[in-house]
Amino acid sequence: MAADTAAPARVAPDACPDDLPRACNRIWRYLEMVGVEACERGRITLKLLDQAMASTLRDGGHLTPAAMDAMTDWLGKREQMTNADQACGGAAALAESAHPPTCRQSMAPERRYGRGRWHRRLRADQPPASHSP
Amino acid sequence: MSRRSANWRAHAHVRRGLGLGLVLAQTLFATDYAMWLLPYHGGQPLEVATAIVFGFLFAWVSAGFWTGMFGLWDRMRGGDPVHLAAWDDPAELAATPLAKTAVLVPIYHEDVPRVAAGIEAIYRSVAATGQLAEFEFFILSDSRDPEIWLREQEAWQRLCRRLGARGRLHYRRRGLNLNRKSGNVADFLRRWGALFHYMVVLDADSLMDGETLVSMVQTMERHGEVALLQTAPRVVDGQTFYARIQQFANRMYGPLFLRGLARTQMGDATFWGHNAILRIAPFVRHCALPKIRGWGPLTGGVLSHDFVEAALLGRAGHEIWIMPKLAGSYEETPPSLVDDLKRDRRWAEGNLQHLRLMFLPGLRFVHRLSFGKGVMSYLSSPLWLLFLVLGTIEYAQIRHGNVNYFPEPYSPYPVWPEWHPESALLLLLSTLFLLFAPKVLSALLVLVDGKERRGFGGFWSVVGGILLESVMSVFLAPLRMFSHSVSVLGALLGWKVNWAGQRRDDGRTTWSEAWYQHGAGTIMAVTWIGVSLWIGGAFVIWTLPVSVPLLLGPAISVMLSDAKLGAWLRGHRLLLTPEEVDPPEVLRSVQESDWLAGADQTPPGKAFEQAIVDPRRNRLHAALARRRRHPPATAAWMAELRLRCLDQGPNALSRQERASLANDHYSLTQLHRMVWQRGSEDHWDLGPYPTSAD
Repeated sequence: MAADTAAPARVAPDACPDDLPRACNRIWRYLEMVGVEACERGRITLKLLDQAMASTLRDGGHLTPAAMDAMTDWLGKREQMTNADQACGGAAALAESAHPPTCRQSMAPERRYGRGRWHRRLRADQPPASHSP
Repeated sequence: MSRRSANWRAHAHVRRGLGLGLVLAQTLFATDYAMWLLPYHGGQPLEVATAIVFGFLFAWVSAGFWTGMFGLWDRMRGGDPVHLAAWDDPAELAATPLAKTAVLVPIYHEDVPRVAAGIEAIYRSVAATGQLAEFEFFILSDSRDPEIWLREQEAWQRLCRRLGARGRLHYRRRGLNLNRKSGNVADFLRRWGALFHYMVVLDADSLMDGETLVSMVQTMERHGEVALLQTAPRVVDGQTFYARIQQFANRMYGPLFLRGLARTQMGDATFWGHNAILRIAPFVRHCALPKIRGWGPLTGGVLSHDFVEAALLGRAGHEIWIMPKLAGSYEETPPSLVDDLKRDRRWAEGNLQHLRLMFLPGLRFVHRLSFGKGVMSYLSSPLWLLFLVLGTIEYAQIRHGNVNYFPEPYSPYPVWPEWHPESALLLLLSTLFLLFAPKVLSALLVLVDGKERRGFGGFWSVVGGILLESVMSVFLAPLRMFSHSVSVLGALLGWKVNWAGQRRDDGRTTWSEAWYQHGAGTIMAVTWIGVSLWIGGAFVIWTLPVSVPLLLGPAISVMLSDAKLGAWLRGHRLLLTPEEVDPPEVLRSVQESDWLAGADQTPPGKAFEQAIVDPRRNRLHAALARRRRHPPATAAWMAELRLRCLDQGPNALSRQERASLANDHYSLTQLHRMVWQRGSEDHWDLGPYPTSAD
C-alpha cells in the first residue's frame, strides 16, 4: 500500500499518543476490541490515519466514514489472510450456519382452523404429506 | 398390524380391564360405605352431593394406588416381556443404522448460560458415541426481549466455536411466536422437518445422554409403527428445599408409578412434551393443532399440546410408548412452590381444555382416559375443597340445625340421624393407606436393594428422606389444593394466563410473592377455623390438617425456596438421589461447565449496547437480523429511533424499540458506525469489553 511507504519516519506507538486527533484514539480502541495485538495496532492506526487524514482533520478530528471504511476494509482483508474467524465465517456464512437451507413442507397453517380439522381422521397407511424443496 | 403389535394389544385390553374394574369396584364400595356413614345415609340432597364428590375423589386416589400396584407387579416380574423395550435383541438393536435426527431445543426467555451448558453437554455426549453425523441441533427461540435473544445468539456462536459445530448447530428466532411451543416446533417442521426422519424435543432444562438418544433412534428405525417414544426424565440439580423434595419424590416413588403406567398404557401412552423422540412424517401429517373454536373459556389455541398430539397420533393408528427403564434422560424442577404453582396455572387451563377434545371421534379409549386424568389432576383440588365445604355444612346442620326426622316425604317412619366417628376414621385410614401404600412399597424396594439404597445415600438417608418428604407433602397438599382450585376457577372464568419463561435458578421467594400467592388461602384458613370453633365440638380438630398448612402457607413457601436450607439438607445426607451421589457424565459436564461459572461475558442490561458497539458482536447480530425494505412510514420511524438511540443512548428506548432496532440488519450496522464516528462518548460505553477465549 502506498500509505505504508508514505510515512516511514513514524514509529508505531504502543499506545495512542494524546496529541493525535480523536480518531486515532477511536481506531486504537476499535482495533483493541477486535483483538488486534498492541504492536500491530499502533502501526495500523497510523496507516489508517494517513489514509484518511485529510477527511479526519476536516471533520475536526473525528473518525470519519472514510476512516471507518478504511479500517473495516483492512480488518476484512486481515481476517481473510489470517482466517481468524473461521469458526463462523463471514456474514453470509454466519446466517446460513444459523438457518440452513430450508426444505419447506406443509403442515396445516395454524390460523386455518375449524371443526372439520379436529374431526378429520387420517389413517397411518396414507402416504405422508408431500413437500417441495 | 404385526404379530407383536397384535400381541401387546391383547395384553393391554386385559390389563386395562382389570385396572378399571378394580378402581370402579373399590370406588363403588367406598362410596356406598361413605353414604352409610352420613347421618341420614344419603337421605338428603346435601348428603348425595357429598357422596358423589367423595366418589370422584376416591376414584382418583384409587387409580393412583392401582397404577402403583401394576408397577409393583412389573417390578416383581422383572419387567414386562410384552413391552416394546423387550422386543429387540440388544446386540441387534445396537447394530441398527441410524437415520437423520434433529434435536430441538425450544426456548423462551430462559437462563442462557444454563441452556448453553445443557446443549454443549448433550452435543459432546452424542459426539462421544461416534454417531454425531446423524444428528443436528436446533435452538428454536421464541424470546421477545432483545436483552435475552442477543445473548442467545452470542451463546450460539460461542457454542459453534467451542464444539466445531458449524453447520450442525443452528439457531432460529421466530419473528412471530404463534401458538407458543407447539407453534415453534411446527415452524421448524415446515422449514426443515422434511430433511429429517426424527426429532427429539427437549425443554430448556432437559438433558439427554448420547447413548440414550442413539438407542431411541435405533428403536424407532426398527419399529415403523411407533411414532413416539417418551422417556421418563429424572429430576436433577435441585438446589432449594422445595426442588430437593420434588426430585427426591420423583426418584424414589416415580419408577413404580411409571412402570405401572407403562404396563397399562403400553403402545397408547402419552406425550409429555419433551425428552421424547418423534417420527416426523406422521407428526406433520396428523398433529397440526387447530384452535378450539367456540365461545367462553377453554377456547383458542391448545395450551397443553402434548397430550393432544399423542391422541392424534394414536387416532391415526400409530403407537406411542413410554420407556420407564431408559436411563439418561433428565430435567429440572421449578425452584420454589410459587414457581411451580405459576406453571400449574398454565397447565390447569391447558388440561381443562382437554374437556373439549376428549370426545373427538376416533380417539383411542386410553387417550380419552389420559385426557380425563389430566383434567382430574387439577379438578380434584376444587372437588376436595367442595368436599370440605359440604362436610362443614353437614356438621354445622347436625350441631345447630333442626333435626329432620322425616327426610322422606309421605313416609310415616322417622329416620334417626346417626353418626359413626369410628367408622369415619376407618374410611379415612383406608384412604390414607391407598395414598401412602405405593410410596411405602417404593421405599421398601429401595431399601432391600443394596445398590439402590447406596444410591440414595444409605439406609438412614432413605428413612430420613422419606419421613421428611412425607411430612412436607402433608403440608404441601392443602396449599396445592387451594392454588389449583383458584387456577381452575380462573381457567373457567377466562382469566388470562401469562406465558412466561420458567424460572430455573435458585432464586428465593420473597415474602411479598409468598403472600400474593398464598394470602387468600391464609384468609380462608382463618375463616374456616373461626367457623369450626363456632360449630363447636371436636370439629376444629378435624380441620387442622388442612387449615394449619393454609394458615402457614406464606412461611412454608418462603422456607421451601431457601437454597441454603437445601444445601444444609444435602450436607446432612437428607433427600439425596442417586444422580447426586454419583452424577452421570452428561449432568456432571453441565455442573462443571464454565457457562455456569460466569462465562457469559455480557453484564446484565448491556447486551443491546454491546451489540451496537462491539464489532464482533455487531457483525454476528447483524448477520442474523432481518434484511428487509421497510415501508416509508416504518423506515422513517426506524430512522428516528436510530437517531434517538445515538443521541440519548440505548436506555432512552423502550424494550420494544430496542427489539425493533436489534432485529434490523441495516439499523445494527448503521448504529455501529455512527456510534464509533460520534464525537461524544456520552451514553455509550466504548469498551473494551471482555471477550471469551474460545
